[in-house]
Amino acid sequence: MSERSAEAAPRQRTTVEIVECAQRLSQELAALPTPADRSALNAVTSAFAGDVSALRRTLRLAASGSGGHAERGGGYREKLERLEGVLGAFLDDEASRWRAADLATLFGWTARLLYAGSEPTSASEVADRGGKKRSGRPGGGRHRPSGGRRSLEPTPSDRPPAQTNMRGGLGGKSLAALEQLLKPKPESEGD
Amino acid sequence: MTYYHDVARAPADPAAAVDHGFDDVSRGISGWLLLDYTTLRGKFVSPGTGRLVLRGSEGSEVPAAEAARSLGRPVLPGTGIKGAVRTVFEVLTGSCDPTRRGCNSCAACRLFGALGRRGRLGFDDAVGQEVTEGAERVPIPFKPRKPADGIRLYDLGPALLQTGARVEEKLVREVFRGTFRGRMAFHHATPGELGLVLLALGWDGGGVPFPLRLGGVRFHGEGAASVSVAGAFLAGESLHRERLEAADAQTRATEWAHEAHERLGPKARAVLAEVARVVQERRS
Repeated sequence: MSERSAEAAPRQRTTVEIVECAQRLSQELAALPTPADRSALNAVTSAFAGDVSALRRTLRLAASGSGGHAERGGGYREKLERLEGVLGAFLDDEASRWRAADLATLFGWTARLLYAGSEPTSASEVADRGGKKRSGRPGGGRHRPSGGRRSLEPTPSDRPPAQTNMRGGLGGKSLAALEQLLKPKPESEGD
Repeated sequence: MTYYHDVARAPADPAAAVDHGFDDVSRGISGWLLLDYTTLRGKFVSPGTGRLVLRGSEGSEVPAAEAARSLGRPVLPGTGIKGAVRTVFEVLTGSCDPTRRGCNSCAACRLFGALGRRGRLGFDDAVGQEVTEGAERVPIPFKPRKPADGIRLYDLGPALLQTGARVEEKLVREVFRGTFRGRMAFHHATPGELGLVLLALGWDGGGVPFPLRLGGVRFHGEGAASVSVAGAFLAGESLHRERLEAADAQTRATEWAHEAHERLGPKARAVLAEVARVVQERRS
């Protein structure tokens, strides 16, 4: 194998690089007024098996209305268009510099951060959603013991989560902790 | 003209439900049945995954809603089969509605399980044996207006608008046609329970069978599969195992169905008759 072909192959990304890129993508996908949600992202990317051009075609065709998926309710057309815009641009610009396995990991992290970022961040948002959080996530759908008088003061599970600088995404502190965890350990003797 | 039929549930209060004597597990049977799920002629099943895949050759590709596969082979997920069977079982036995409030003690909760209670019945994924794959256009699904206290049985006709016109078919889905085979395992089940499960599967031991409804697009008359017993494996009282031929299994199943019929209350008999009537009407 020549040196040139070895240099042209995309390098393996570190977890921190992947998470940082996923954070950027999730923020772009979640931007108002037509945010894309995790289920829409997973619908397109969870079957990704390394064929970037097939993924690109799926995005383009689905957003253009082929197959009728854009006509589903719940603003699905807008979600597909947002996905096509954000992911399409990313794939066009950067996919050639990513390994397929890293891209799959990136989509998984993006979906996770998109899910975390959909957590309501203010009291007004909680009120807009009928005062309910979705169950199946930390803090959401927490069981309230029955019996006894209920205080008018909000319980910890009722209080809106603290404001973060990126709607539930990873902060700089978290990334630093992640980097610390991922630092290679010194090789032990005998290895 | 409607394309569905709402069936009221029996009383949700477990204490008010008919006592089927299911607490006595001393004479319970353990083992498994090998079941064949065959799509009706002209019908398909489409167990969805929530993903989009490209169908067709490059240049004329269409994104389609993916159907479930395991290791590349078409499957009917066992969880979906169990849920479909449980719903009918609940109606037949006057069990609780677990989506509202699990009682943990009614006939369905005791056999199928509940929160904190392992069930005595389980369905493996049914794997395609002779299955043809394809893609079909179907109506865009809508949130069904489920009856307040009951289940909705869809017939085998197309979804209709209030005007009586057919709903336009726009959405492309992957579909399967053919026969799937999977096991139904059970532990310490009584003959009456097994018979009721067979009735809920749509197999009536020579009576009027009704198709089990599985996967997506049920509201459009699809997802209909007939169920037959292809074999059985039973653990005897002395734990001597014997392998039964299919014909023998059918005979035993008939006995179970007979016992189940005897245990059915008048409400459940009415439901079965109602189901049979809907099927007969559609066929005629």
